[in-house]
Amino acid sequence: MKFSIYRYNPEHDTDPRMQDLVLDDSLIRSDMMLLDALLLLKAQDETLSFRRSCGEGVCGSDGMNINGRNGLACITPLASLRTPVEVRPLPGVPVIRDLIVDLEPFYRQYRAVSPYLINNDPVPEVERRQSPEQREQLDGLYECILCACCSTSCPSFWWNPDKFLGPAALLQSARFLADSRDQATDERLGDLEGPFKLFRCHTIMNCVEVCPKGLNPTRAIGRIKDLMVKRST
Amino acid sequence: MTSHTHGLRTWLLQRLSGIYLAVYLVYVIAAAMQHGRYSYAEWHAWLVHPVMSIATAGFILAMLAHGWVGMRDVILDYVHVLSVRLLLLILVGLTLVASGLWALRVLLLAAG
Repeated sequence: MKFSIYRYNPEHDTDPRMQDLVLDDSLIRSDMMLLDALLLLKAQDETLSFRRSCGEGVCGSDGMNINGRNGLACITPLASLRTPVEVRPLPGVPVIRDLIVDLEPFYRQYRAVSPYLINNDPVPEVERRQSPEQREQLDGLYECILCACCSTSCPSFWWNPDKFLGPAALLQSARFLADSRDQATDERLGDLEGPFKLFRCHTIMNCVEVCPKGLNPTRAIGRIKDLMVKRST
Repeated sequence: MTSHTHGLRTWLLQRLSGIYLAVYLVYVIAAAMQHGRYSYAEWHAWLVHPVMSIATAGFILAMLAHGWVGMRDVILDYVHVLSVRLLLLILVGLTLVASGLWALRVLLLAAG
């Protein structure tokens, strides 16, 4: 099976290049994921660098651009990919080495939405309770694993990564806006005002297309807009 | 330039003007097809009716507002040098205002 993999080592290379690699078919099983193949390739050439951890689509470490589409290598079946499989780092963020990218711009926007519960009531003896209906409001929002597949597939995030929060951070914002225990709705909505933080989203839904957890950041952004309209009237 | 600092207001303006544009265009095309006016006098009489004139003036305003938000979005997305961005926004604004004035002049002249 043929692979074409983005290679860049800033210590030796002046420019990135695509490297053609071949994995012997005898090594490939039908139920293999792309990550398994990358690990076999790394056994052949140990300088090949990428992040990985759980291998189950839970940790979100191995987000990469696979045949032009962002996804997690560990849950992308090899059999589903046309060859040569073109593997590149997530687009729009600085490359540290090979498939490893610097996600600091992404995390900075994540931190900017205060992704934690803000509640100024005295801490109760027991947990802060929610009804099943209130808990249901968080479905489709809390499952995000911060793999960055969505934000790095969003052209608005490519053009303005310092000003536009991006789909992942906005999904988190929606998650805490929807939380019945959070008391900072007004401040959160106020913080999102302005032409850049939220309104660079032009609803092209690249984020929905690539999310490996099947989440819908575009709908979450729409809900935030609804709340903003209600707040202003 | 307060509209420049507001995201929600411009976004709402784009949505509302979009709805008006869609409703007006559907109505005008449907009305034109239904009545089959073939002479200049018939067209003229239809368009200078006060209700139609006001609706058309609203259409022009909505189109200018819609165009402004759309062009502003493109410029905010792609032009990052502040001076160039301001220059482009001013150019777009002037073009839209001039187009609007010209269109309103046509309307007023038609209404006689």
